[in-house]
Amino acid sequence: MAGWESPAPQPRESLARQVVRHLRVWRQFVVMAFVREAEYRVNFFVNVFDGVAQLALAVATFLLIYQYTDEIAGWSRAEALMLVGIYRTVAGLIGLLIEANMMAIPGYIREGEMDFHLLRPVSSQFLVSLRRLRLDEAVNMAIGLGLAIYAGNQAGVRWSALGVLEAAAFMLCGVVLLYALWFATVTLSFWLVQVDTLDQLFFGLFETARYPVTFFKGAVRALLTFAVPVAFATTFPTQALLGQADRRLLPVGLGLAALGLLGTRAFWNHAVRHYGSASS
Amino acid sequence: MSAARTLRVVWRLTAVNVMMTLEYRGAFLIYMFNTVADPTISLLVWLAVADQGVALPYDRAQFVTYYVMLSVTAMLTATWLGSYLAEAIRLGKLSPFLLRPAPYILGMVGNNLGEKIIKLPLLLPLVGLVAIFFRHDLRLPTDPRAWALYLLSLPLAATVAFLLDYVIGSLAFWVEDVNGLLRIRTLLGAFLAGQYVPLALFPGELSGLLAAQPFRYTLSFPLEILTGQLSGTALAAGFAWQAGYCIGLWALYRLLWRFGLRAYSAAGA
Repeated sequence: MAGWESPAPQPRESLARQVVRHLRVWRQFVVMAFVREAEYRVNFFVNVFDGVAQLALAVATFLLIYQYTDEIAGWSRAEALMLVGIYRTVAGLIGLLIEANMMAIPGYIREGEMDFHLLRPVSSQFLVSLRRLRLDEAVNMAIGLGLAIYAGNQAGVRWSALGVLEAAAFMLCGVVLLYALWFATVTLSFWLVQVDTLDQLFFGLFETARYPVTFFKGAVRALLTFAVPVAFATTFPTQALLGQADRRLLPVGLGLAALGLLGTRAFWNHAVRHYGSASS
Repeated sequence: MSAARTLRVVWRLTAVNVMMTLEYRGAFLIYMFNTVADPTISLLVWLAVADQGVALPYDRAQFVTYYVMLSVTAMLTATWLGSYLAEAIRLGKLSPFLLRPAPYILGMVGNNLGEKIIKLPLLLPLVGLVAIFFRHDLRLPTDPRAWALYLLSLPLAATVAFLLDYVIGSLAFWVEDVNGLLRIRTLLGAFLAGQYVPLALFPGELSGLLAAQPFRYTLSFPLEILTGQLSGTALAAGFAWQAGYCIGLWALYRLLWRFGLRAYSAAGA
């Protein structure tokens, strides 16, 4: 088979209806995730424990560093711990929504399951990106948020609706950008057989989000802001809550995120058109 | 089995693993990138702390030396056998190996050495780049004796780490699922081995405890030799601990396998 023909033209559907339809499908993903999680309850607790242990070690690392100083590049200990909480929240969000999916996609392509996903009457990118949820990560997310709020109070944050909204917007940009980066990498598996290990690269880079980008100088900081956009995921949201965010970066982030989504969509559609299926 | 024959078997198994591992060299290059990137990020953070002008147990040169050499040392002392061993025991994959005229552990040794032989040439250029980047602060020992001691403690560290994993994996003879235990060993072990923060920067009250726990001897101790922070007596004590853990864990492994193999056969596998 020489590649996938575009599906027969459907009657035009308004964008709003498409969104509603996809949301309805997504609700079904959530239901399925609960069913699956109920089957593997022990696994759930093991994963939560693992998340807590990792967070505890990240906090311990910062406590060790701040034994020696009250401030690093303008960040107090409470502020840095707040960022660790935000990091855990973002990591939880990525774990909850997309991680399991990104790791499954190369397998769909290698083993032919992709054919079934392409046949379904929803966006195939939507389907393969969001169909699996890891509910245990929601608990880790809540723990991260708890740490962020606790440390935020210690740092003397004056919580405001505007600040929270701004932080959430930055975080959204960060998550979308990280998703775009990861999804683009995974899309490569239409051509390359072994891209699973690129996940490791992604995890390695995401680790750097545990530190404020302002700890770093010059090229490293620029890299972590724009090339590997971890700054949008953790540093900028924390700064927004502290009332120190550079507001000009918000439209930059939104623009980059939109670009990321459109770019991955174009890349994915291009890849799917050239997909020859594992079974043909 | 005689020592010469054991060595010959390990040599053959290592050679086999080198050939098998060559298949994965692309994947390993990425792993090696992470192996270098993580310590470099930690180093940059500590240099940012040093820039605050506060007093630290390490000077800039020691931080650079520690974290640049950390990636090579961590790679050469790494283990990954725990979950494989546990699976082999749980699923009965061990059985065919029990008929072979060499202990099962030698296969794991061959796998460990074989992969490291492939990883080393992939890792060294990356470490070289980092070393060049920090060349102004990098201060490696000039005394060949320090390097000799480092090269002596390195295989000992790899042995302690290997046997620790082997002992924990062997618990699968009695315990259904040891993966949780292995996960704790990985997370806590890395932290207590100085993977993220050098042990010399932990609170002083903990120094006695830190010196006695086994993870120091899986990674931190060889690095401490290179940063030049150890006195003559501390060096001797460190080697004594390291050798002690090697012998103790070896004895424990022998004991566990003696009784474990009985439990294994009793299960009818």
